[in-house]
Amino acid sequence: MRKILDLLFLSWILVACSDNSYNSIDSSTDFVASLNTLDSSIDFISKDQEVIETWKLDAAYTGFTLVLNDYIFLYGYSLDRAELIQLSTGKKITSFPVHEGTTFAYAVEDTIYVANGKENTVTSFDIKGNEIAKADAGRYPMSMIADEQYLYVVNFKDTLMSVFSLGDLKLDRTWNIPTSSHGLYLNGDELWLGGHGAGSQPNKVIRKYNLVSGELQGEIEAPMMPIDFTDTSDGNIFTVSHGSNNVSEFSKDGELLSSIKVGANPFSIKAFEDCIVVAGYDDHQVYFLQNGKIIEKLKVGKGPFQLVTREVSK
Amino acid sequence: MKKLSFKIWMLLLVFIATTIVFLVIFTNFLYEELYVQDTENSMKEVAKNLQSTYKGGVVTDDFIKQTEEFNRFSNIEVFTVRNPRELSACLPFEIDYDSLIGAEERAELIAGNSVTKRGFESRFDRDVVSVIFPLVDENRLEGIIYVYVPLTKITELASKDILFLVISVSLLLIAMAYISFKSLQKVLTPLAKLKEASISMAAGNYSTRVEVKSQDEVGELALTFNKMAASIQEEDKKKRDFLSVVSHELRTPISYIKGYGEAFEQHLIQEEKKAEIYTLIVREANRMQKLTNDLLTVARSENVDEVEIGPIILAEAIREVLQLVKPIADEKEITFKVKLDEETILSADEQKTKQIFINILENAIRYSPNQSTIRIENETTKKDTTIKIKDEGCGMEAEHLPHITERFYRVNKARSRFDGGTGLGLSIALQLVTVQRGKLAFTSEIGKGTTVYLTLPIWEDTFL
Repeated sequence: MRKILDLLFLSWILVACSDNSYNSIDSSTDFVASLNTLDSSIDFISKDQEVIETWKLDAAYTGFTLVLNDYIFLYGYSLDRAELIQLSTGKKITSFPVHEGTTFAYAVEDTIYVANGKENTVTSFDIKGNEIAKADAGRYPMSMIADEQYLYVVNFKDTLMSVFSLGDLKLDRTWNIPTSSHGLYLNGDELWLGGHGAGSQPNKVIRKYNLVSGELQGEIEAPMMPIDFTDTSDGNIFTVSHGSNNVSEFSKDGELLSSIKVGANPFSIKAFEDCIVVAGYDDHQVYFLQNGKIIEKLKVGKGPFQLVTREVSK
Repeated sequence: MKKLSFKIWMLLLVFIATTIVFLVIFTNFLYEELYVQDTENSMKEVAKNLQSTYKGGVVTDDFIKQTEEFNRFSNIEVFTVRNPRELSACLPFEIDYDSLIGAEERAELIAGNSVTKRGFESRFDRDVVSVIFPLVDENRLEGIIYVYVPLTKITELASKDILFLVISVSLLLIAMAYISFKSLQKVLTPLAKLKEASISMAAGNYSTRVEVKSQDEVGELALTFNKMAASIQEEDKKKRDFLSVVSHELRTPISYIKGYGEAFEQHLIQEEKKAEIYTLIVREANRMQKLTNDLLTVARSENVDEVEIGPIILAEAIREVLQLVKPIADEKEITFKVKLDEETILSADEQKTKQIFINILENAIRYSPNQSTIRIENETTKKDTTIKIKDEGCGMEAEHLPHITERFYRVNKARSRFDGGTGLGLSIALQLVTVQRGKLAFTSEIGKGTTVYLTLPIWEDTFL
């Protein structure tokens, strides 16, 4: 009997500990975090370009997003729950009853939009995990971005863009895009769209669409497979092309300013402090760029797939 | 016989067929393994050479052209791929595209290792052996050199020879079947002959013999069979001879008795001759009685089980026997000179031993002249004693000596039955000596007499 009690006590401690398994990140700390999908970990890197914390994750998470600057929303394609973890405490706050097939999450203030590639839906949740609204999308909704009014959803295995109203997820309009599109950037009244390319043909352009009409307004030639965007304070737009391992800088008009080789198979790019940060999925390194040059590279966990930044001061 | 040969033949055939099938499969396996292995090695060599010409950076059109040029001179298919979609670069994303390499292969290639695959490749819609070498620059998988050979080509190569293989294997099988059948026949034919000979023997044809050709076990068996057949034939002949002699010996006294009986019936006998004829009839009846008694003794003396060995004082036994033969010795005024060791004790059956002495002495008396002497002596060794009985009779030629113990053997055929013997005396003596593990030997000299040497074991307690 004593043994059973000991065992129960131990189990309780373990369960309690697992709830508290992550080290907290101070609210005042700026960081760029990389989600490493091959070994299920998150590396937090300070503006001094040092890894300040590493979280070993307990499940096969495939993506994450920052919510209200103090929460990390973690999801996985094969998982039927998503977790909201408070950075300042390191505690799991809420488990979201998402369904298997989560492909992407996008937070607008305290609302989290979750795309599901199995059910082909987009669902919005409040921070407590309550479902607010749900809408049908095209085949395999994934990449998302929002302006003040609308949520723009790229259907990865479909040839259409779905535009929902932010509050009730009512489908407002759709327009045609190529399949395997990924990576969005809002540039004034234009929506820039990247992608991998259909079939064996790799995509080599960034498409510019009119935000309102969805009309294709032009194509910008870019290195192979541009799939993520970021911008800097000077208004220039950076894109990462994973097919040719390039980071390219464009003016707001779409003029190519510079391009350099960075990392091996990079999927994610973020502006952080006065640097551009790129994650190399195949070489497991995070690169810091300044003035078109690599100024630092850091070894992180295996398969850094996605980057998230927090700049409290901004 | 046929069944056995058929079984052995079938067994041989099964063994041969199994061996051939196994060899064919094994050869095929080896051929494929070695050939595929060899192909794989040469493919690696090609890919390695091409890889060494890669100088880093983006894979150029020239490089791709160079690898494609290679195809013109080789039966190995080579191509270079730099399309990231083919290289599974988009892998964390779910891609509706069947890329040339998978996630694990990509990881291997990025690490700088080559990948070898065998199996179905949907891209080529056939089984292939492929070798993939990476073109890596600073951890970036810029491209791959893909070398492959359709596996079917190898099996196609083998299938060309399949008809030839099937024909040659079938021919080999038929040849082996024929050879084994013939060899088996050669081995088993003597057995068949032996069987026929046995049947012939069983039917009473004792002159049957088997022709012995081989020196092996079957040959030895045939030889043994022939020896056995010879023994049986000899025994059969002896039996026939014996029966013919017995019937002849019995017929003579019966003819006498019958003849004189009929003469009496027809009153042809004169009164003064009657007493003589009665004596003759009684003598012939006695002879018949003695003959039948001797025949019974012959039949019984072959039975070793009836021998009762015990201690017998030799001198005493001889004296008792001499008393028995004295009447017939006295008729011819024959005297005995006995010089025996009084302490000799025989280890023998008393009745049988006395019978031996009686038969030998009767014989000696029968062939000794009147007023002669018969000497009886003995000489003892450690284990046995030899009793020497020497008469002064007519003696006989040496050629008769080996036969005188044969039943109804007569040295002088003409004298036949007039000497009063049955022709079985010495034969019975020899049988009785043999069952007591003794020996009987003779020496003789014409006109001087015959000596009988009777050796019998002595009672070993004698010396204690």
